[in-house]
Amino acid sequence: MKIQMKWELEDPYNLIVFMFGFIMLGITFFSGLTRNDVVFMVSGPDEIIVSESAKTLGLTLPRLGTEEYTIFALTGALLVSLMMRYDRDTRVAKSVYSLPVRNYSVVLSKALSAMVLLFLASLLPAFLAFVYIHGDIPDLIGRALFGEGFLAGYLIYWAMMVLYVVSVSALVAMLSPNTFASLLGSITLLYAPLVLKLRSLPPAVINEAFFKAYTTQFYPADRVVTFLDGSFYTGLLLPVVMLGVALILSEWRDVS
Amino acid sequence: MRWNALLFAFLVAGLLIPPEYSSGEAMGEPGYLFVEAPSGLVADIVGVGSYATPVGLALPPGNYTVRITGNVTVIVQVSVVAETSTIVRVDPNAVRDAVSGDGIVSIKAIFNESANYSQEKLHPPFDPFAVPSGGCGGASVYINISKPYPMDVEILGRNRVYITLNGTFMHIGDDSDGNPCMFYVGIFPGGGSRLESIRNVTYTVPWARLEINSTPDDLTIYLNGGHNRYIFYTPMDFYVPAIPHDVYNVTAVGYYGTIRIPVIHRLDTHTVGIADGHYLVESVVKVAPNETYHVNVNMEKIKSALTVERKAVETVPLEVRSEPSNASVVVTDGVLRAFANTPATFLLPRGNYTIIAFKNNLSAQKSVVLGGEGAKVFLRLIPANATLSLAVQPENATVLLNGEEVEVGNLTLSPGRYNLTVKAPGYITKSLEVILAPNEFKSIEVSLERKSVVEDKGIAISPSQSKTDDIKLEETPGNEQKGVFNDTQTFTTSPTENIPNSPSPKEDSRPFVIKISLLMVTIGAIYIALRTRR
Repeated sequence: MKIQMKWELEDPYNLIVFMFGFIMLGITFFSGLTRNDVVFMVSGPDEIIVSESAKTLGLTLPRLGTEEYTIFALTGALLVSLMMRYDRDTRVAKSVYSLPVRNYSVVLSKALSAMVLLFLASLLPAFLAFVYIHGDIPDLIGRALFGEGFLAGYLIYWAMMVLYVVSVSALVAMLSPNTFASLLGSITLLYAPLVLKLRSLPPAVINEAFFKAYTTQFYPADRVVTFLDGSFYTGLLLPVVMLGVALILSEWRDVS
Repeated sequence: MRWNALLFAFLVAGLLIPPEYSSGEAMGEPGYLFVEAPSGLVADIVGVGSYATPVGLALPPGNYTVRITGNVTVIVQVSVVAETSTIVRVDPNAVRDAVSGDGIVSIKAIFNESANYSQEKLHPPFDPFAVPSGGCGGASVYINISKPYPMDVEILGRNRVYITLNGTFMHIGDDSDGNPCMFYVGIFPGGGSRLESIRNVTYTVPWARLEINSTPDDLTIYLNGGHNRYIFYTPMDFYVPAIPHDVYNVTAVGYYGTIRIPVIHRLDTHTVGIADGHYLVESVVKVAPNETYHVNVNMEKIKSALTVERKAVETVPLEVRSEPSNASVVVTDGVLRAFANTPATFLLPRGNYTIIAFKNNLSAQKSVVLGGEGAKVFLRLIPANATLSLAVQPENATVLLNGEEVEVGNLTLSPGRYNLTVKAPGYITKSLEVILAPNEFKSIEVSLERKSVVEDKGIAISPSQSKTDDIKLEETPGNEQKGVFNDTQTFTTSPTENIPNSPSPKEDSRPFVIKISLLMVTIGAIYIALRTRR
């Protein structure tokens, strides 16, 4: 599985999609952060200003608004479709899947590779944009990320988003006849909650759980638990089930 | 790979280069600050002096604060740029007319050129007012209120936004069965709030309703100096604490036992700030329990009543020398004033000026027409006197001249600059600068305005709700508010007995454990399905 992941991570098509996601998300995060304007209080002692700024800054860590989610979903769908369907369309899969490993293992390694690339393509530009905008404020980033317990929740947030996008795309890819259908189906399914304004599905449910956890809870551990609790069914369980079904399907389906 | 590393290092190095800021205009080139306001008002230019309006000053470039005090207080913070006139036009009466509502006891309008008080909407991908209905409690999304006491916000719905007060018992909505939701409120400044369910409460804080509107809509609201960037835009309604008098020995039974609050302090005023860009209008509203109050600010009117304009000025030099040298010089055309010590070179717009120089009991005065390429003036100082005739209202007011108390009437003084301060109990202190020329007879009448009811009674209002820390208040209300950060509204005694049968935290976390188990079972089932199929 390790070697298969290495193949996928070094594939030039995948890397081009990674670069697309990295740059586009970076630009969107950057413009989103600069749009936030100055944050300050009309009054209040310095201690409160620093503390509140740190907290507000933590909440303004780049997350997935409408624009960002569009690019994120597109990048995820492209990565998974290319990894899971393109080799089948070009018949390369016949040799890949003839290796002495189970089909689900190959698909799982592809899904994990897609997760790694999508996670890096979103988290790295998010941090870069954040540091570029707020890096000149002494102590504030440290306090926002570590003092307020944002880092753990923030990493989980992205992991959850990545898991959701990859699992939806993987299931669609396994059900699709070719790359084009896989791409179209994935984007449609990923974008549907946004168009239909469904607040019970990601990204809204994960966003709301994150915001609620970090505004209603005081202690970092409580925040993480509340966040996971609030987004469990559609942010964690549903993607795991979808990925599991995709893996089972990969065993049933022909390679070509 | 090496080239990639070099490129990355180059990009990172680019981030480390500190931005280069313009060092501004060359020193020595003055800027001009004009304050145009109805006559009879006094403009206090912080760090410079107080002058009767209209006034113009030649000042070194920099940031200045102009404060016009009255029942409507106007504060303008502007930058004075070299070779440029900065004209501040203020009409306090128009500011007063732009603010309407019930219970408003004082108004403060602020224009701060270096601040943007508007908090832009973030359009988050969630609805901050979407709170699940049913049980007690709601969403708490931070409000940075620390004065006069720490407060937070509890949201139960679009029209049910409660401002909670630290260390008090509050009735915040009802549950789906109609039972009142009673809480002991603990607020950690900078850390959020904690609501503890209570029962058998002897006193809950009464509410008043504040309905805040503006023209146009969607302006940022600051309540008691704090704001919430996600929610507070006009129009907006709040429930705010309205405690008409101190309440002693309040008790309730909480989670850990009996909670006793020795005293809940009076809190019957709230400051409503409405902001748009550089403008912030703060109205102090006096509230009573179970009443509804309206505050409406017409920001368009405010913007026309308080303007700042800049014009380029062409200046010519005016050289002033004197015998003896090192004398104080005032150059004025009636409105514009410039100050220096001889020998001095003033850069002033062309026009007719009067030059007054003074040193100890010596003085001289000369008029000059400044045009063409400038002018040179030499003044020989000789002994002279001036007379200042003072009349004040109310008659029992204390008059200070350069900090020393003087009698009202005719005063014979040496020519020069004097700081005149008039104060009386119950009135707003007035301070202004007076320039006396040699052999001049100057008559000045000062009538003081009464302080507003709130200031007079010493009700707890933040004296500096605005971002004007550098402003020295002439009349800080003798209020009872305390330092803020460690100043809780009240303190409670340690828990005693009667530990109620509340659900334990372990029970609360049970559903999450079940969820995690469910996830593990799902993963296990998938794994088994994959392993068993060949």
